[in-house]
Amino acid sequence: MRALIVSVALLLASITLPTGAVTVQPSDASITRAKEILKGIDDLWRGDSSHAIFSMHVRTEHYQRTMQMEAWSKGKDKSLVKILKPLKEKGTASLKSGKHLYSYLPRTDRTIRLTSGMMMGSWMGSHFTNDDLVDESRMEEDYTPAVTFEGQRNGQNIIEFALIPHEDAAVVWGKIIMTIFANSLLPIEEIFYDEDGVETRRMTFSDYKVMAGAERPAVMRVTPTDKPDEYTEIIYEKLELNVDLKDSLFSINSLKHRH
Amino acid sequence: MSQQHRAIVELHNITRTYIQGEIEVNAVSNLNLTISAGEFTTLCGPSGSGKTTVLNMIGALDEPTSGVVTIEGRNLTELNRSEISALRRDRIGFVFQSYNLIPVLTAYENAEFVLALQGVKPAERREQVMAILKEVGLEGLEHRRPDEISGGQQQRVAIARAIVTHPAIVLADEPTANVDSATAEALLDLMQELNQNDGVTFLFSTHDQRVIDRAKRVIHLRDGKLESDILQ
Amino acid sequence: MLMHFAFRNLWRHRQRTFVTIAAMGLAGSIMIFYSALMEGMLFASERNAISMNSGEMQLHVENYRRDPDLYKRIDGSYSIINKLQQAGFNASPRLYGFALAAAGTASSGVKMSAIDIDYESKVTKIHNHVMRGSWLSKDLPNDVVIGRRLARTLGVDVGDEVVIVGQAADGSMADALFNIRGILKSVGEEIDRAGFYMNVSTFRELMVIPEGSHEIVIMPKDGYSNTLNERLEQVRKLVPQLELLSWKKLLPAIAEILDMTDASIVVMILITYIAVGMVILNAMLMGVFERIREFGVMKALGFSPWQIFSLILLESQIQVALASMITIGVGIPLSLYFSVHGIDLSQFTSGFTFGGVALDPHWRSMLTPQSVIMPVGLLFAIATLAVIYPAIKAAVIQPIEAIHHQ
Ligand SMILES: Nc1ncnc2c1ncn2[C@@H]1O[C@H](COP(=O)(O)OP(=O)(O)O)[C@@H](O)[C@H]1O
Ligand SMILES: [Mg+2]
Repeated sequence: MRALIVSVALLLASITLPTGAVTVQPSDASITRAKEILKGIDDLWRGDSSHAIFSMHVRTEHYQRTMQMEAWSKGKDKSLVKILKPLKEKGTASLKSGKHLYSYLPRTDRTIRLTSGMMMGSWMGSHFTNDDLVDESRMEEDYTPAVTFEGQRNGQNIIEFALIPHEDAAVVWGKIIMTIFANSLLPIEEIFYDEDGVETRRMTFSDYKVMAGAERPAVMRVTPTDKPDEYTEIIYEKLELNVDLKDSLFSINSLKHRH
Repeated sequence: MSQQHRAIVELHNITRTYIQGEIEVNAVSNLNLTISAGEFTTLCGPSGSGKTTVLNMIGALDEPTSGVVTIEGRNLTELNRSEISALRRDRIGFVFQSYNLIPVLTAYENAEFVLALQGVKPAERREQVMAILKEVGLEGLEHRRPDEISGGQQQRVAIARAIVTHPAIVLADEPTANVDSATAEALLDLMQELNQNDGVTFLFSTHDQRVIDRAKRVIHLRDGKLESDILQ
Repeated sequence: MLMHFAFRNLWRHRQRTFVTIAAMGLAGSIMIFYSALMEGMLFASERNAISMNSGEMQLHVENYRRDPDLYKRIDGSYSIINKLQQAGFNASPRLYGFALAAAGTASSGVKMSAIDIDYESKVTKIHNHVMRGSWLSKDLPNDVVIGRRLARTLGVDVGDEVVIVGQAADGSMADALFNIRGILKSVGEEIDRAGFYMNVSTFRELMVIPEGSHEIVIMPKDGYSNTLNERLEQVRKLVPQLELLSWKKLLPAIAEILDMTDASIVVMILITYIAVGMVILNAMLMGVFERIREFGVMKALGFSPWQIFSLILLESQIQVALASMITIGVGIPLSLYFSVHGIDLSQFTSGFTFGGVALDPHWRSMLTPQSVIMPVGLLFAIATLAVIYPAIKAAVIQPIEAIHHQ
């Protein structure tokens, strides 16, 4: 789940990569500006590795539940999430390695690889999809950023970006609008639109506090637009950046081990 | 008999024209004729002189091209189909040269079915048919089929069939042409008897001299025209 | 009087009459038998199609079909099933859930179908379509039966293990290990590709659904007499609160194929009828024209055209009536015999499909009122139509012409 919170940071950071072939409408100037800002965010945010403990609270029409998880990440494409609570699912682990996603199921003692058909399925009964876990590394390749607004909004200095997928990119979203504080470059909100331009979900950030040496949002909430009463909230309890992690942690074998 | 001189058939200026290919042939032309009740009359003349045509018109089997045919005072051209059928059924008896019996019916049934058609009750039918068959000399042959009896016997059945309904007139087209002379004589005896004893009116065509000799009235036709009309 | 004439004529022409009646009767019997065979084939195709999986009708809560969702459940499904059983139906509850199945490194999305074995076996015949292994058993809660393409995708066979991961109704992770007990024959695209059958109790535990079902599958008990529409109405009255769909809506493609087949059978039957009609027409024409001289004499002697017409019509009707008796007397027993014994085609083919539906190699006829009424009705219609022309001809012909007719 590091993916989710850090997705903003990583996403923005990684957007330094796209260059030349831009086919979307925004002016070159706004793209250049966006990349500049994103580079700044990257410098500010990006850690080579992370270790976090967070709880996830899911509320749907049919159920409500809380889980506690521990997560590790290294680089852009390695991450591991293990469930600590509840007991029934303790030990269940998700490993992202490159573009593959593996699940370890302690009850059956089996590790399975999720196929592309399962990527849009719910992750752990939350409003996140499995795809969200692997999506970040693709964002940078598939989307072009552009600054669409810069200035005061609700008495705050903010910057708004639009992320538009490349024409040939096979992506889930048709557009992502992201708002950050102009001064701190902290995320405020992300709005996701489908291919028809219809708003699908909204991710809001709050409870900004110092974690791992900098101010960061400790709470992130995703609300599906068509079910405004439902949400999934992630609350960071602990975050460490630039910790020393072995590559072997992100192997299928280590999925089974308890930490 | 009181009805002796009542006119049964009247032909007024009858012409019957056939079209044979391109040419018109007058089978009968401008014929005037009256047949009265009780007559025993023969139409004679060579083949093609119009005898059959005349009989057919009288029997309402054919219509004149011009002129009027009346049967018992009724103008045939004024009758509709069902009246014509009823007239044939009730007032006319037909005897054909080739008998024309219904092949699948017995002698009895052939003589009986017109009565049935008239709606006569079965018991009455039976009585009348048996009497007639006896009269025409077919006693004991009632249950024979046409193909089980001789030509003469078949013609007797035909005569029985023609007279069983007590028609106003019996029309017989060359009734003896298909039988040997002895049989012909016998048939003539029968018809003569019926004429004399029962007062049945007969009009028959023939070119047989023996038949002509027997007739009370001889009408000669030639090329569809009346040549002579002789009471013997 | 005409009746008497008609009977006498037929009797006196008995040779021709018998031949005509026999020909018509035989043709009619064949038509009945043929119709019954076709009805039987259609019926078998229909039964096979619906008894495979869909049943004759299904109940769901509103919109379940359009948007299947774990939470759209029918409450009190067993009491509904009881009601249906009392009304002459067999019914079975089912639950569905989507999940990921994995075996070794392979994985695939599956549609879990949870069934109550005792009830299901009275409703569908899917348990007869196991290709390898065997069908589910109540005593083996961890055994599953899967579709053949799914088995290939997962690279598994009978006796292998497969893991299921999904999300239970309470949002928790639903994961379990199953043994593959059986692999199904090809029974339809979806089941082949994703079918994953398990015991309903296993599913309830796995998916944390203690009650309710997603679907109630309904099949009439044997020996029903009313039509599908009447049965639908009956069920609708019993459970008005649920959405009721007939197999025609559930299997529109098969319904369409069967409808088309029905239409093509009608065409084939019509062609047969036309051929039979020709025979009858010929018999009638000959019967009248051979006797045209006779009719001429009758007209000369006083039969009216209408009487001649009626007589001929009457004769034909008597013949058809007698032919119908033969038709019924031969056609029905023949059809009934083959509805019990069937025509064994197994020596020609191990199993054949018709309209995409697998059929039993015993082709059984099925006698429906329609398969009797139509041939008999058509026999009358054809014979009547066939005789009208010669009857009119005989009625209006000039007697002298008829008499000279040789
Ligand atoms: N149906 C017919 N069509 C054309 N000509 C006919 C027909 N019937 C009779 N005729 C002609 O009418 C004439 C009289 O014939 P018919 O009355 O049969 O004479 P008969 O009976 O005296 O031999 C003959 O010239 C015959 O050819
Ligand atoms: Mg003549």
